Amino acid sequence: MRIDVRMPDLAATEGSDIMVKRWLIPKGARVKRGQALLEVETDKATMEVESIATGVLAETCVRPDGKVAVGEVIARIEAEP
Amino acid sequence: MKRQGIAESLRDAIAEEMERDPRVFCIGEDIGVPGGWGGAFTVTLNLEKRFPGRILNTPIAELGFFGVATGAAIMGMRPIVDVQYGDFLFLASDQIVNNAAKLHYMSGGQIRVPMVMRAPVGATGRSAQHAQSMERYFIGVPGLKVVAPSNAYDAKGLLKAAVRDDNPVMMFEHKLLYGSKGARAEPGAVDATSDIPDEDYTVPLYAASVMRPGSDMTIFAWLLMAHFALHAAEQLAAEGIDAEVIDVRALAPLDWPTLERSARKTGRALIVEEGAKTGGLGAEIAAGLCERVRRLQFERLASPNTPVPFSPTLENAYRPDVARIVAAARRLAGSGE
Amino acid sequence: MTARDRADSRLGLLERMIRIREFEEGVRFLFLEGSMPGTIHQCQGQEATAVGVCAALRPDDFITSTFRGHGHALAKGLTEQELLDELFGAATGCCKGKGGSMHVGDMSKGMVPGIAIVGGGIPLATGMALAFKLQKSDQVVACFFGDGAVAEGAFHEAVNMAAIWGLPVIFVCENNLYGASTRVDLVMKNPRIADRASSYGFAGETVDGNDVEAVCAAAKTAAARCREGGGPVLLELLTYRQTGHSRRDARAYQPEAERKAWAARDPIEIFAARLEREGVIDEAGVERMRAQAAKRFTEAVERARSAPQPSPDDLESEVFAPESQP
Repeated sequence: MRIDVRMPDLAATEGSDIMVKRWLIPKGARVKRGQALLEVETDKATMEVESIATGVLAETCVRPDGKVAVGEVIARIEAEP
Repeated sequence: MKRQGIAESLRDAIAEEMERDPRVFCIGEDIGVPGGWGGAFTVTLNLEKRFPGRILNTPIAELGFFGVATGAAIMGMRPIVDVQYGDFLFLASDQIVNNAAKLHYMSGGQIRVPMVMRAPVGATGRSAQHAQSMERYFIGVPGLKVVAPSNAYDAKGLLKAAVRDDNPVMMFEHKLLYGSKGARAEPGAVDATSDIPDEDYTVPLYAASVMRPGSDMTIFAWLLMAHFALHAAEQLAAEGIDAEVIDVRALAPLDWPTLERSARKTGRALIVEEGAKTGGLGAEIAAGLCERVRRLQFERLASPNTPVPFSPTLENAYRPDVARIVAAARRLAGSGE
Repeated sequence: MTARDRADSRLGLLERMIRIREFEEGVRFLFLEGSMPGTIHQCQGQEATAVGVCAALRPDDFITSTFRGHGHALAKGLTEQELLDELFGAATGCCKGKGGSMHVGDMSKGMVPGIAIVGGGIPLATGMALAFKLQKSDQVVACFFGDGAVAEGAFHEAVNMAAIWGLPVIFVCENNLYGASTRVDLVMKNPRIADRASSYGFAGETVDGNDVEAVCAAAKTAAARCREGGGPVLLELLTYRQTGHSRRDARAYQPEAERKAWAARDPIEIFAARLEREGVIDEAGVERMRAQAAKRFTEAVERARSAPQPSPDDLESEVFAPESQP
């Protein structure tokens, strides 16, 4: 089944911007739960967003250098049962 | 029946409750030192002889021993915590406000904190840090009950009720009302003695008391000010102003039915408080009465917004007195129809 | 104890640590998904301190805890279900949804709801031990707190009173080297916390907090001492937080080399390896424990998601306990 990966609230300061830096996994690759999918820049540090499921990275929904909102769908994973 | 003062009546209350229930114990500084004072105001004098091991003397560590008492209470003991001066309650506030008052609610009702805390308040020539009226800081704490007896009968009955209540109860006692004897006697002390029945009795923690019925206005007061209000009412009566005097007594939760009934009857409320006017309990009473009684005329008489000064001249100016209560009452009587 | 009993009890220690890790990782992902309200303070990496101490206690002993209490709760016997219900704010939570993550507890299992004010639970523990002494009970209380709490006046006052009155309390300092983001040696000149006990007149011991059996042995000795009326004990357990202080923490203040060194001493890994070496369990057996813990967690989450929320009427209930007893 396809699972939405939403941007978690990683900013140190409530409401501050989160910028996408780069994808660490290409579309179509297999990922494990907990594996880092992409890097983002918060007001305090560069942080990794982890996959919440094990499966195949089916869709990447945000681009590098773009702002991303908390809760926005950033990827979709075709999860293993 | 015997006539006695607040200090002796509190001592009797503590002793009787400790006899009645082995879970009751006292904890505080200098409260049970053999040959000692029985606390700063003689209340626990010689109780350590009658109840060995149950009158615990602590180091000077208010935050610590209020927390210790809370912990003992959650395990089923029923501590009576003694702080030497109400001003020192600030040191213990985290344990009182964040723990004792909240544990029942935060735990979803699993925990009870049957703890009594006793604190002396009021200005008595010891300057700003040993003089504060501390009621205001604790009346707005959900989960904490607050009472303030103005006389020996109420003091004994309220303390017994507090010990038997399964919630944290703070009792404020006024230093000038203890009636302490000898070396502990206070200049400016007021007679707060009562006839005390021989049989067991309690006074409800949620009830105000009508000290003097009247029809032209209500004077709301507590602790020392309740006595001054009564004296003022006597003077006012001679001028044809019939003042009802209510001893607020239950400070949190307030006894709104009694307070409202009186304000509605007289239409005029004078709230007298020792302690700065801003943010005092008088503000809560005034607001609550106005919400309940339309077109209520009211005035608050309180101390100015200053720390308590040392010089007796200044301290007397700080503390509302009978003359100022009478003047305020006249103003209130003359205002409106 | 027979060899079989001993093996079972050691396996029990491993299983409990694995359950805590699966729980905390699962909860972390619930947060990343955005489906859990509030905030969380997790304890990945610190499983051995919770499990080791609680395994040394009796069911009628008590623990006090902090805002970082999920591990303590599971170690003391609370279930994944009552915790998850509470974290989702449900009325079936251990505190009826009134407490949340920082205040989990269950008095019927000997855990006081966590006290979230740093150091605030330490005087409570001394008081509970005072009650045990006055009641002439041989129960003990273990008081969990972190290195940061040692700076609070409440620590000093409570430890001093426990010492002068000889109370049955085990003060358990989980020294994970950081009070929030501040390194312990920046906030105390002598960072050996166990040393402080002697200044109050009793014994302190520093223990490898990532070795669950060392923790358990030290806690057993401490509990026995308390029960015999020997007074309090201070255990300093050296451990490390493999997760942020709270959910938004990137842990940039933890140097990379330090993180790696401690990750290599993961309490679950090293104990599993020890048990495998000694033939008590094999790799497949450890995997089975993990899978079982994960399944238990997932099932509990499903039930928690549909657990009944409190009604608005519950807002004002239980501010006060009913007045009194006869």
